[in-house]
Amino acid sequence: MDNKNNFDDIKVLDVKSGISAHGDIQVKINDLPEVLLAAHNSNPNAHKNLLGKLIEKTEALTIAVDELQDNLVLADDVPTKISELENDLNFVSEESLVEALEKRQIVNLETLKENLDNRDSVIQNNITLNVNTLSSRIEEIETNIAFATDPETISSYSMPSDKYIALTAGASGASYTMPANGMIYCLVKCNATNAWFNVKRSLTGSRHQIPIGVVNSHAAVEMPVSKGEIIEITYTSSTIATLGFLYLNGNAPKDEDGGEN
Amino acid sequence: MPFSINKENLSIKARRGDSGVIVFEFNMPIDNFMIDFCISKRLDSTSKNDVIISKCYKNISGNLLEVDISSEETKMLKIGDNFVGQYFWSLKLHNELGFNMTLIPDKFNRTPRFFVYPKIGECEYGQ
Repeated sequence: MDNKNNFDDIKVLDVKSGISAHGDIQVKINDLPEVLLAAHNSNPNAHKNLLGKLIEKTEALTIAVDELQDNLVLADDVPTKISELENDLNFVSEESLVEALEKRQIVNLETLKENLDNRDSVIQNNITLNVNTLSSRIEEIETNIAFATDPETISSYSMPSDKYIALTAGASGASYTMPANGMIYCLVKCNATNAWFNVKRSLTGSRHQIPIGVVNSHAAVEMPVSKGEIIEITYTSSTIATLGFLYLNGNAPKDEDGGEN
Repeated sequence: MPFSINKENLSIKARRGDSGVIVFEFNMPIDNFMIDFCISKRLDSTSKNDVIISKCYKNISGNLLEVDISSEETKMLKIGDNFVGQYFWSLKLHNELGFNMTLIPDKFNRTPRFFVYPKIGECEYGQ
């Protein structure tokens, strides 16, 4: 036997140096009842410590049993809880949710899914459309700006247009209310040598007053008027041949709006 | 030099002339019992001549037992071949009314050997 090797591979118990040696070799007594009986027989008081230990163990076991019984009582509710959870699970199952949603027509899942699948292209199309619309609108605005700042265009707005309304001529001294800003046109035919006519603003009295000396000849007035303005026309020894109102270029109605040429 | 103890196979190793203490911890109090610790030549001693060292402990308190082996006692153990002497130790529990229980050797097939080796530099092996 190689005593040197065997000697080195085990723990050294250094009793003299004071290292604790407690529990160095553990001895398990398996036949505990036999030992207890022997202790009791030798001296009834001798096994007091053993009995105390046993009582402690018994009390610990009693507490453990009580806890187990409490747990068993709680465990009685487990099937009920499981049943409730199963019911809840059924209630919130995918099928029930789909059915509920479809019944309420809150969400068409197919449409929703389709929309979700196509959302990228839809968003892209919307962006493209909006960009195109904005570009078109910008071009329109730019055109309008260019148009609105053109001197020829702006100055033409106050000029008489070729749109007019024929007015029914009344007796001398009749008044006419102007439908819009524009021009009043009055053509008068001379019936006698002392004929004359005038076109007057009722509010201010300013007027065009025209004498006509040659029988069967004509004289005419074209006077700017404001919307709502009352114009009074007086004439003698003459007849109104034409009476009309002309719109300006700036407010002339389009052909479909009933304007006359 | 102290003793060397292997708790797995319960072997104790010592050099002749050394002393030491072997501490046993029991799984229950052994008050009012007596413990016999023996070192013998054979595992199952049938003759008192086989027993080399026998120590009886009384008035034990609690669950600890300290077995002290003196220098003179280890010198009683002889060295055999290969510079080692092989012995067996045992532990018995008993009382005055004849109760007797062998605790070691136990039923776990652990053989409690006690090996003794020559002291370093020693020429006389006690043979």
